[in-house]
Amino acid sequence: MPTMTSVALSYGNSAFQDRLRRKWRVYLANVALALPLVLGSLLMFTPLVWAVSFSFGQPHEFFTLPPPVIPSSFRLDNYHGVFERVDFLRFFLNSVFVTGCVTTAQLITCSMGGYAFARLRFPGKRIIFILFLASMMVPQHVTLIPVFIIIRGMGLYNNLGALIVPYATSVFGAFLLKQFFETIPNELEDAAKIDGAGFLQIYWRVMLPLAGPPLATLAILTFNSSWNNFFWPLIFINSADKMTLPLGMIYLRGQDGVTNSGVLMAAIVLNLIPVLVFFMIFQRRLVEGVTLSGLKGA
Amino acid sequence: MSARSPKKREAAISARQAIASWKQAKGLRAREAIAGYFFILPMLLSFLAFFLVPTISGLGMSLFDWDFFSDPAFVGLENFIELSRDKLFLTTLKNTALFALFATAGNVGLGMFIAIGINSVKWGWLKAYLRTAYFIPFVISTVVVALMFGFLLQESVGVVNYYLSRLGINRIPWLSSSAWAFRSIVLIDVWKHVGFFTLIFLAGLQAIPSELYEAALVDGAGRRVRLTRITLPLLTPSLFFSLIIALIGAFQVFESMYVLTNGGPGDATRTVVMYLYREAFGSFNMGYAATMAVALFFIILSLTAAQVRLGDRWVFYR
Repeated sequence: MPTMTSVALSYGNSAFQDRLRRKWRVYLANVALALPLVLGSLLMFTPLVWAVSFSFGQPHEFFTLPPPVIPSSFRLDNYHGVFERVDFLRFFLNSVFVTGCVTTAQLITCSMGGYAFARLRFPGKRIIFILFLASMMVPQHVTLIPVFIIIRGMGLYNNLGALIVPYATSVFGAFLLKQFFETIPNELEDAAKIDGAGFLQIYWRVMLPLAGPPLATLAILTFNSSWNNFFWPLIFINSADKMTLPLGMIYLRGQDGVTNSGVLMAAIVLNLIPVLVFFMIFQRRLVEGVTLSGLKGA
Repeated sequence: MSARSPKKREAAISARQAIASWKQAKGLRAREAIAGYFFILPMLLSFLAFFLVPTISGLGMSLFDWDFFSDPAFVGLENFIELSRDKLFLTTLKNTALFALFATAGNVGLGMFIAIGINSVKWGWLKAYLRTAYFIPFVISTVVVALMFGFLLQESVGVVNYYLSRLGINRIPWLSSSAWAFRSIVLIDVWKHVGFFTLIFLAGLQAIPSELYEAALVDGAGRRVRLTRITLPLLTPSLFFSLIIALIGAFQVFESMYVLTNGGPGDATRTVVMYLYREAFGSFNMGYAATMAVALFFIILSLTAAQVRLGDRWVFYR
């Protein structure tokens, strides 16, 4: 409202104060709005901070009040305790192996499927795609017992393969890549065809190099869900040397004197470190991926 | 031979060419189809081995009495009749439904609230911080979250109760009383998932064209009118999507209860999937467990269908 400003300006000093006051009011309104959100966000951090500080606590401190929120010393006894009781490194490496295999396999199979559904014509394509989508709606518990029998039949019981093979493809991932491949202009593909490229070459040389962003999104989402998978290992793994981190944590809790102790907290912190580092590095892509999967439905 | 006119010869040549190119095209088409099947082969195999065959046999298994070791015996719909009279199943179903109700309301309601709040924060750096902060718990595994809260929520020596007592609030039996154990698990679930729904609503908010707000400002609409007439109606697709996936997820809840309370105290926090898991891998009642899975599937399916049906009435599509 330019006229009002010019009128106000003619009043000189008091108008300046007026503007300053209004500015302050807007500022305060913004602070008032943000404050509850900031306080709420602290609730998200507090448990994590407590877990870290308790991981340094000494056993006798856990029965005294106030609880040792500020550690009396930064002794690493609890961390030693974790490695004394279980082969934590083995859990970690198993998790890395399983997650790495699942993610790599999904990147290959989903990009292949996405390419075929987006760019190739073949009889039955629509029906197959609709069936694939329908399979996303069925909860995994319906297929649980038959899949258990199939996996056992494949000789994969108590084998890391049981955590990899059923997760080697994902309909969501293929859908994500199909959506992307559909946006690539035909000219690129035609040019490659004129140069005598076959479908395999087009997929490998033309399509994949362009698909960096959606592949990264898929990789991060897959990594996250595979890393945190608990139900599957619970059913298929029964020896400690084959456990991944989530199941290993339950195994650790079952050891002597671990339930609700500093040792358990130390193990939790050891779990949090790689996950939070992963989060810091890939935050943007992760947010993008979730947003994308949300928009797809909306 | 010479009787053939040049015109006829031309026609013959072009026909031959047409046939040749048709054959070539057919060859190309066939090659494309073969390539198509080749590229979807891994997905197709996985679909057959880990979805289609298991789904059909899972449905079939619900008609049998089978303990995994002896031969299965066909019992028709007897499992379903037994299930409808099974008191524990009805309890777990009630627990699951109540959990789904409260967790969905908490996650989706609070997520929407927080997203609208974050979206109207003025400072970009604060926006980025808030979005990140609320989303962090989502990347931590449920097992770790549950173990962590199990420690913090101990009744006598837990840090949460300690600070509550400093504020003059009596110790809360977070995990040891039936009512509180249920509430705690809902609270933990909201802590872990609210950031996910916040992100979905933030995406929905960003998709609202700013011209609408500008036009409303010109018309002299206040903050409240803009919220109720623009923001909320245009957020309904995000709300609809969130409600559907939240409910589907909540009906399959298992991990936090398994880790924190193991279904207790009593059966206060036992869910359908926990009961199913115990029947299948504890008691080896494979047929009965399959029946539960089928029942759960149809419950989720009908709830989703009802939501989609009702969605037409209140979801605003541009």
